[in-house]
Amino acid sequence: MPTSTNTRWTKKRDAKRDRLSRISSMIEGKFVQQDNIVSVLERVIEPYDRVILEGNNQKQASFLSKSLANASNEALHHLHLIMSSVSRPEHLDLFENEIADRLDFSFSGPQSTRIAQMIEDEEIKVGNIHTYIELYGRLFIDLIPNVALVAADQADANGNLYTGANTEETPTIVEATAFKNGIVIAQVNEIVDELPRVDIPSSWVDVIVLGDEPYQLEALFTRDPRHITEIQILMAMLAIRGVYEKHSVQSLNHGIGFNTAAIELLLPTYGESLNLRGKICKHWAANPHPTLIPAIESGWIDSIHSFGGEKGMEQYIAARPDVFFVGSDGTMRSNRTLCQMAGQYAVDLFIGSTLQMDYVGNSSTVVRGRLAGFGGAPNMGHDPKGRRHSTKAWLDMQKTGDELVRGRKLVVQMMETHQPGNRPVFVDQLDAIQVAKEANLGTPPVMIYADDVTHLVTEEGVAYLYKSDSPAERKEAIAAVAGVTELGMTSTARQKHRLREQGIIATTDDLEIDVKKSNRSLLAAKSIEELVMWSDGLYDPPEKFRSYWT
Amino acid sequence: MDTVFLFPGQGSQRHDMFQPYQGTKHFELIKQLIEDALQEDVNQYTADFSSTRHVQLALLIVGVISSKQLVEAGIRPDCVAGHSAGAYSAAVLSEVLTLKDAIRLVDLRGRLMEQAFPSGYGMMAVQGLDVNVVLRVIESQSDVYLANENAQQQVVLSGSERSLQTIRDTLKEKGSRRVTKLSVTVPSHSPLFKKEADVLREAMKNLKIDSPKIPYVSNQSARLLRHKDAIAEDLAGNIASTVRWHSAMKMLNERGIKNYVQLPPGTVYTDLLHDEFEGIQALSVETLSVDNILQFVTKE
Repeated sequence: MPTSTNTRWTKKRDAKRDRLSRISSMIEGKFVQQDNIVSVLERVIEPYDRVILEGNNQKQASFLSKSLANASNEALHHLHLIMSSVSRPEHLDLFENEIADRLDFSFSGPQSTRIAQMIEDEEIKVGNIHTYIELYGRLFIDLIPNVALVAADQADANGNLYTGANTEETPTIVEATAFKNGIVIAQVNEIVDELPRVDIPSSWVDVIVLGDEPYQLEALFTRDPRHITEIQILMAMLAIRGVYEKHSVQSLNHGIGFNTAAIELLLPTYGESLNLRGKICKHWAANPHPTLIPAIESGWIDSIHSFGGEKGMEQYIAARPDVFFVGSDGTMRSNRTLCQMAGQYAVDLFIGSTLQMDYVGNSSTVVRGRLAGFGGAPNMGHDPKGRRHSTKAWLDMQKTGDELVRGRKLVVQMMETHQPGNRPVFVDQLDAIQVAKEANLGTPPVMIYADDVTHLVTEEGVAYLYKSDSPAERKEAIAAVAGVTELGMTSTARQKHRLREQGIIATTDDLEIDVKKSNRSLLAAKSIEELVMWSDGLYDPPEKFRSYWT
Repeated sequence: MDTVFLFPGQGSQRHDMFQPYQGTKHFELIKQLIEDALQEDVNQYTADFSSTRHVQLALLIVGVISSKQLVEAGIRPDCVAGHSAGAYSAAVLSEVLTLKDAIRLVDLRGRLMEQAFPSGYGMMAVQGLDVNVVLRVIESQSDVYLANENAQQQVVLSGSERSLQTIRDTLKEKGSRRVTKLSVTVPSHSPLFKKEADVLREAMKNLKIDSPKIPYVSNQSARLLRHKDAIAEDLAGNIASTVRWHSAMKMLNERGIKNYVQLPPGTVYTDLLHDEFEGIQALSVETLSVDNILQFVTKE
């Protein structure tokens, strides 16, 4: 017979009740005064707590992060911060001021120099650098938060929250905290009588405060077509013809960048001329890029599920509910976790730009002295071995004679062979390896592993890397499209001829691309104004993209 | 944190750099201090730049006077950054060093540099080539060093003239837009100056070093320093190690610094910033009036 241990099974629930009782004099319903927020944080958070601070590359719980940084380090110290993106100055001030000392994160692009310095100086103890979805996953396994600090657009008097187009990671963070007896604190832009819809129910939220200003929101995915170059247009033609059409790519992810913006703007022109509408690019896991407007308006796109919103696109999205995910109230809902998962498992193709590739095809965006983390690209830029549904594109990647008929995701890397400052793009060893040593990281920060990369697109052509397992042949294929780089110079005319014969590389000639047409007149919209026109005036670009307007 | 003051180092000097300050109370005061301490007339510094000691003292004079004027006009920096010799002006404004001690140290620094390496050494500016590419090239030479990392694509190398000459062509082949030999005979900011840095360290031991009133940006590590010992080490040691200016500016940008005010002479550092960062104000005292700068840094 087991001996009685008198185990208490409600320690966490009791502790939560105890913590909330410390602010009972400051709280009405779920609401606390703006002026009291620092003291509320000092009372409900305890030293050594795991605190998740909402902030990805677009939306930031900026009032709460500023307030936490104003806390006394006598009250709050040794906090373990969990953040998908380290992006605001105070995120690192928290460590400098000895309020926090441990960090698990995913992306740190906007603070890449300072975070590298602080890790080297041992001011920050880094648990791990994650991709988005694995960080979210760990919130439910071994990084369960004690406290979540999140941001919402609106709250009603009962404490329900509306997060709208910028719902992003809020539901994931709140769920991981609220259902494990953690404390959820939300900053809101306004308090209203009636919400457009409920995105987060009130019973998941403990404390609400009105922010001093609207939460920080970046229009990160807006690319002004004015800045798209002719090389990018040529590469877009190569990608459409040599990858999307060749494999009938129906579902895909596009990230940030001018390379993919060029593809989006070529669908209604170049894509139309190839008669590809309805045959490629129908289903998207992507943010609502303004450069998608012409393709949507010309009937190319059936559906888009998004990680986040995009400033200025709200009215346009609301008017196109057949394409976007929109609530009963008519406004968009995004969800970063679900879109990352969709982008991982449910799309045929990931395409991204890279800065450096080694001779077998590993790639990285790492620069020495900076630590930018990963974000979501590796989630989508790999072949998920758990995929079981098949499509033509996926099956196109299977090895010949494979009795298991196992396909692969298309993982496409785009790269201009000439970079500013003649930075080497093809290298025998990635800088990431040296960076890992300097920053004492357990694993080098490789963005996309070579065994996941299926295609490389440069301005010289397409390398079909999936067709070869041999490192020597992959190197030859990369060299054949590497232009006038050191690696490219090693490629002989004979090698190129053989690779073309075998279909391992394809040039513009092989793909019957008329290079003369690769100019800006091929863009469906050449400016932000033209995007607004395409949208029937529904797209309302942020101020900083209006600077050229007459 | 909003505002940083940037103090220029060697290369920014001009013969008329004292002109706007002649006759002001600060100028008269510093002139007298130097006459007492070094028995020299300051005007000889700007007359003859063949001496690095002259150049460094002239930069100290203008850096200190112009920054005090800005502070008196109500422009208070949240941190200070000086490039190489400019670090001494920064240290005076942050009150780590007294002006008197700074004069003595810069005088010593200049003398040490003049006595070392009378010939066979020099410096070379490399433009339009990524710093990481340059680093790979200089790995092949045992006596070439990265002296200044001024921008991602603008660096200065130090070393023996023979080795600098050797890699000149390689740098061009790798795509450098411009490789320019500087008119100096000393390999500044290289380990070749280790001994001189030690002499400066010794000299500083006998001085009263105070805690900074304004945080100070390190040349050597691109960190923001708040402890006097670390600042003293940066001042003494920067002569023997790379000036990580670009990393420092990036670090300040990430801290949310919006106003970068370059003290005279020149506009080199604001020009670099305009090219590298968006959404900031790079303001040079030389091209804007003090009143204009005040307006820029106080506007919301």
